[in-house]
Parts: sequence; structure tokens; C-alpha cells
Amino acid sequence: MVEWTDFERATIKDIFSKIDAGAVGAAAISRCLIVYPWTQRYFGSFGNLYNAAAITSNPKVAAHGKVVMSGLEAAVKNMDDIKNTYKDLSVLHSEKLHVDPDNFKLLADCLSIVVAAQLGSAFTGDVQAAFQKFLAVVVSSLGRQYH
Amino acid sequence: MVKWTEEERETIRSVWEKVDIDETGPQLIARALIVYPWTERYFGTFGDIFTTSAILSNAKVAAHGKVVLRALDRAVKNLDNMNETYAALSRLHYENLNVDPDNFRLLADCITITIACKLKAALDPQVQATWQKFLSAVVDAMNSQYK
Repeated sequence: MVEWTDFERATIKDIFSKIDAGAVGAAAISRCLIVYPWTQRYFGSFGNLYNAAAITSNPKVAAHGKVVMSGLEAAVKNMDDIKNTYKDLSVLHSEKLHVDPDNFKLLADCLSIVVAAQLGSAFTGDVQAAFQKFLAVVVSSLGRQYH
Repeated sequence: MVKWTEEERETIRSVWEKVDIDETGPQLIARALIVYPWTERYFGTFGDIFTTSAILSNAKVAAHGKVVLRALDRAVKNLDNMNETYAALSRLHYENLNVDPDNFRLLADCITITIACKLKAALDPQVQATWQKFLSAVVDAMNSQYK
């Protein structure tokens, strides 16, 4: 089981209280679709994703950003048992959505960049380490039910 | 060889001119040492780099960050022959310093995050995509002399 220090717990809660979840979720998904264009294959029903402008103004992308962020908030509330919290989500992504689990890491990287841009100098090395550890646990939990 | 469009060249230059080597250099290696602590093994001669406060106040860490950014400046100025520009550096890291090349990618990620903290919204998704393409080319050039 993952061990969290008090600093890490406080930092994760602090980040989520400071960021604008709706904006961060939408920005991270958009960024993924733009920077790693093969991820567009998972969003065939989202309509126009043909260029950066279309992606950043697509309402389904924004809505999905919110879905992802509420998933992350569930992890923040259950930091000591993210694996079980994410069991159904992992099955969904593996068996229904057929998402290559490497892509979870790409989305996590985009999330780090968006949060870094929002927090600016407050995103220190220690804060980054805690946030990336949290995201690594989330990514690992999402990949758990794949076989 | 990597192909660069005019737009990409312009984007890379415009991101780079916003980077102040004296300001960003010291943060760079510090971030890597904090977020990826195993990298401490490469800096045995730097003295105390074992806690965040030691890392952030270590003069050799700060100086080395500037060395890395000055080398990155050469990549910005030689987009069309990065492999040649970095051949000697690559050999140095492979034969003398014995650096695991995975770490180049980690340092590249730290560079992107440090720049995201500074540039914030100016590092929009397309700029990020171009900047990451540039850093992958740099990482490839650093890998070029590894057998």
C-alpha cells in the first residue's frame, strides 16, 4: 500500500483546493489531444477535433475534463485506497473503452503542466514530487484491472 | 534528421528568449534532484544534496543548472544539426559520466515544468507540443553516442 507523508497529504489537498477544476480538466484533455494527437482515436464521438482551436472550444472535451477531475477528486478523498476506489474505472477503461494504459501517463504529464502553469512559482520541486507521486498512484490504479 | 517548420522555429526561439538562464538555471537541477532523488547519484562531488533545503541552497547545483541551459542554447541555435552539436556532450555523458539516458528525458520534463511555471498561459498546447518536440530532439542528440 502507498504510504503518504503529512506533507504529501496536505499538498495534494491544497492543490485541489486552489485549482479551478473545470478549467484544469478541460485544459489537460485538450492539451493531450493536441500534443499527443493519437489520443484523438478515443474520442470519435466528440465531433470536431481537427485542429487546436476546434479542440479547445469543443464542449464535449470540456465536459469530459470535468468527468476526469471528479475521478481525481475521488482519489483525493480516498488517498489510502485509490486502488479499490478505481477498480470499476479500471475495468471500464480496459474492457469497454480499450484505452492503451500508456495514455494514462500522458494525461498525467499534461495535468502536471497545466497545474504548474496555474500555480506558477508555488509549484516548487517538493509540490511537484508530491503531485507526481499522487498521479503515479492514480495511473497505476487505472491500469490494475487490465489483463 | 528532424524537420522544423518556420512556425516551430519561431515558437522555440520565442519560448527560449523568455527563459532567463540565471533565474531558471538554478531551479532546474534542483527540481530533478527533488522529484527524482535517484539522480543524486550523479552529483557525488556536489556536497549536501540530500534534503530539499540543502539542494535549494547548494551553489554547485545552481551553477550546474546554468551549464545545462547554456548547452540548451546551443541546441536552439543549431536546430538543423543537433546530433553533431551534441556529439561530444553525448560521448562525455556516456563514457565519462555513465549517465543512464532515461534521465535525459526526466530532466527534459523538469525543464518543461519549470518553463510552464514561468510562462503559464503563454505555454499553450501548441507551444507545448513544439517545445516538447524540440526537447525530444535534444534528448535524442544526447543519446546519439550511446551504444
